[in-house]
Amino acid sequence: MDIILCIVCKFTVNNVLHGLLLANGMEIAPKPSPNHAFSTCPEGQVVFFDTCEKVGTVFLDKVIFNKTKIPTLTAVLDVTQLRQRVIANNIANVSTQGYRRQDLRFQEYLDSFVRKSPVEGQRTDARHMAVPSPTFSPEVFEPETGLNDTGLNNVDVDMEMADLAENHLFFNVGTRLLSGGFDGLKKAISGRTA
Amino acid sequence: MQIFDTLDISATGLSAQRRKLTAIASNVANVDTTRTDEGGPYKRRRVVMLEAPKLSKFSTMLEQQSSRMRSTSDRHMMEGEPRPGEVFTGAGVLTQEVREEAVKPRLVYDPNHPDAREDGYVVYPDINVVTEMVDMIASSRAYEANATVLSAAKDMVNRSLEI
Repeated sequence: MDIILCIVCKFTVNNVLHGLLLANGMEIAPKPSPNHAFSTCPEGQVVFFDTCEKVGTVFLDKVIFNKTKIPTLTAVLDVTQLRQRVIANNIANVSTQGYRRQDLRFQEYLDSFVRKSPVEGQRTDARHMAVPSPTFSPEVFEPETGLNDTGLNNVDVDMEMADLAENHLFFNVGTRLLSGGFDGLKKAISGRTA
Repeated sequence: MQIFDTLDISATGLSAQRRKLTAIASNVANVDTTRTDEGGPYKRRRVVMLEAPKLSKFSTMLEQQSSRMRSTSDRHMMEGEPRPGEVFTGAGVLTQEVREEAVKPRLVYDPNHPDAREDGYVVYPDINVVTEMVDMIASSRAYEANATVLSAAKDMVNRSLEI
């Protein structure tokens, strides 16, 4: 296995790394296929723009980040941020006549990160069905409730404020755990210093 | 950026309530105004709230698809997949101001008043101070609620910078 060095991203794939990639079920194209963009460096070694960059990020994602809780926590932050937006919109429209309050359905989405399917299918063709089925994405919906006491709309400010407080705490938990996750990674990379 | 959209939504709420408060202040101040530029007694200002135009799901998707970039060569940069959070929600609130025609103007008999009619009655604006006060309380509470949401959103942004 030759050393492949990308002049753009300076990502070096040597034998050790190649072994790691193989162990994780990834393969690097040994030769530039005609479909790949490539050029040669001054030493005459083959430089892959496409492949090495992709391999670099895929490698980091698959070997490091996806084995931590970081993707799940990122989803938590995404969801809480969206929910914040929905609540803000409800409160902004508190005195709009005929406004229908919105809510966010996100439980299935977050569950899909925690409960992993026992089988995972590999797709070798774009027409293949995905196994497990693709995750639900969070969905904004309008719950069917009657008018509130004002008779203007169905926004209940107390409920919205409670949701807001809950969502805020949820977000804080997410950020705290996430920075904990990154601290852990940093410690693992730098080693323990006395 | 999506995270600042929440701030924008709350800001529309704040400005809508502030506009309503301004209208109420003007109504209370002009409770006895019998002469205006357009003639006749002062007409009550009323602020109506409207939901900000929300693109229907179909048009949002159409817009997303038509603005998607196509890669015609392998060397082109790929456009990132949309993040799961990018579903469209509302965009806050809008206001419109209307001047109400008096339904039942207050008539006071005062023949010596400069704006008195032929029959000696003076037409005062149709403003009930109690109603205005109640509206004012409701509107200032709604303002507070929006301010709370805004400060929560601000705190979240700050918190996410600490990751």
